[in-house]
Amino acid sequence: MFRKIAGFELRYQLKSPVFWVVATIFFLLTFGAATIDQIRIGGGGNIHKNAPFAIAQTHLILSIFYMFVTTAFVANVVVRDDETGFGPILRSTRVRKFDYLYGRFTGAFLAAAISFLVVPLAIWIGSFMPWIDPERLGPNDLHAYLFSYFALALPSILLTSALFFALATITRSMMWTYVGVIAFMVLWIIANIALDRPEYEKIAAYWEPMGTAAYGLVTKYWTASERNSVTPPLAGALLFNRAFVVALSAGFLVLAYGLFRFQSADLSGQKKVKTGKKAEVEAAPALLSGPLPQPVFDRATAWAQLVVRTLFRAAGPGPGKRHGGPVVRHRRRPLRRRGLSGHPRAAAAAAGFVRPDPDDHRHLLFGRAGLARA
Amino acid sequence: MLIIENLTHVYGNGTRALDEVSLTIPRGMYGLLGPNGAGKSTLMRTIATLQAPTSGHIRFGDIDVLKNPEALRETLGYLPQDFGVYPRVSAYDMLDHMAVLKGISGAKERKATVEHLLNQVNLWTVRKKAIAGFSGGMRQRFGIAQALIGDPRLIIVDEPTAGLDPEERNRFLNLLAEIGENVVVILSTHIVEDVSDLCPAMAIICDGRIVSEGAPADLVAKLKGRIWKKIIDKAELEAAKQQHKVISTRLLAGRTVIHIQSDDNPGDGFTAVEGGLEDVYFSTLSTTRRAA
Repeated sequence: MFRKIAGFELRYQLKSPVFWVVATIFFLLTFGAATIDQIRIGGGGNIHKNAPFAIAQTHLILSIFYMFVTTAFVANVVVRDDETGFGPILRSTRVRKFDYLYGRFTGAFLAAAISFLVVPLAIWIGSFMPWIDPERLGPNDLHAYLFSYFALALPSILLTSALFFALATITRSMMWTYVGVIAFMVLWIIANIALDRPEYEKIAAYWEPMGTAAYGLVTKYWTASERNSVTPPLAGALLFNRAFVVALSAGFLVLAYGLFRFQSADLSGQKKVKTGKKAEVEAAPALLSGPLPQPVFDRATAWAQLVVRTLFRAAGPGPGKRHGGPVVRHRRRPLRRRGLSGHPRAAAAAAGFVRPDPDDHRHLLFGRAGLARA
Repeated sequence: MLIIENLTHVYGNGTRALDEVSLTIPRGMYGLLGPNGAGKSTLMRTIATLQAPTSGHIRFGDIDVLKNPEALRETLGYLPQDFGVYPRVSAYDMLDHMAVLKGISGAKERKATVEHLLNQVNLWTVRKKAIAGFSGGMRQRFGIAQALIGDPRLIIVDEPTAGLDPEERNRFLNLLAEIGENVVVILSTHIVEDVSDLCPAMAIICDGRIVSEGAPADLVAKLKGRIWKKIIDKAELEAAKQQHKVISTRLLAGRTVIHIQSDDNPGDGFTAVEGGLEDVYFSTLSTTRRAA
């Protein structure tokens, strides 16, 4: 069952627009860095565009920013069932927590890992571009690509996947998971600044989770010619660091397993009843004696509509609310019941209520306001 | 046989959704009739092991449902009241995935299951289309298809016909009628015809309590000769309500048709009507609400 769930998840993620958008962005970014001088990832300097050192640095740095992407993949696994409303059907099946949770995590992680393959691919393709000065290119070293992808990037991707998977399981909210991503990023930068002293470099190499300090320590005194040709062995601090990161990831996965509940706590009848929460009954206002006010279509109305629509679109979900849109939760069928015909999404749009596609992370990339749909 | 004993559910905000509900549900189609907000869905979700009740017991055969939900899930088919689906997934793929989750792990068995069910619910021609774009009726038929995977012995369908057009509703009820008589099927609904069309046994739930229980024909027989009808003007309604036990009012060509319950002939232009299940339903509800 585990394998089939992972397979379904992987196929699902590969079909999602976020996968292709991300793959395209990271391909172009890396390709740009590998072929033109205006984009630079890492130190650059007097080494080949496709030197092992350049390849490693590109992988290290992009895998840090890639945490925004892994989160989109893995957090979606957790929140999707509640957001789409498919959860009740799923939770009434005999699927076991282990298969469900880890099967899906595996599928989502594989999707993230596959998507990151565009990075080595872009460097490799870039090295054949005719406009690059041949003196700035060396031979393509397969070992350097494999090392950078599997030893440097992949453990970091696993870590951010596992960490934010656990966070999404706790918060059940896309927004709070992304708040966590930003907090992690900020802490990481602060820690890097604080530990940027010779006496800390060993500690940092061992424990810094994204692997930059470990690789930096190993390659610290390398000459340009070494940077152009040598891939360090996976040993010493580097090996320790990568093993630590994988172990840490496993820890987060275990944590997510422990915290995940199939039964919804909100619906439980065993929760203590909050006292004093009874809604007060408000007296209904008096009915109008005349007809309802007539609509007016002038400039003031246009302005009021613009303001309302702008605020409405900009208002994100508050804490505790579900991610995904200003309307807390509209379901498709009830709209139909209210007599709106046609395609559910068209009907929803006509009513001014659009529940965004729960997998649609485009707003994360482009901002919500820029997306007109339906 | 499904046995529910003293089931009570109080939500965190103090709402008492279920109040000492006890029911014995035999094999066959069982109708659970009640107005919106009566606690039907809470009861359905609790039986489907999706939420834990405040107190009470549920037993299905020899399974203690609350202590051992996994055992029930192995033989449960559940169609929730309102469900969504993943975007961009076809009916075939989703049903195939559901079959995996429901323990049909052999590829051959799964193919047979999925193809049979897609055929049975008449979705074969649209099997490659995304479910997210389905109409309400198609979506419900997909819902019943997934509930039937693996031959469950307990099937729960929660308000399946709400929002369907008459043709789709008939089609859906026909699907339900095809389900074997050897399984327990609980059909929760607020539509009286759903129950009178399908169910040899039923209960009426109101404000979290079971207020009536039995075979529809028996319940109708009990009201025989006690339901009277009159067509009046809207203005006379309040007076009629004062005078008689009005159980239902509806409009007919702009005038109001009232049904009242009375053991004796009330005279005053009332004529006797052959009571139906709808009268049973409204009579029960009005009795309950008067008492409250």
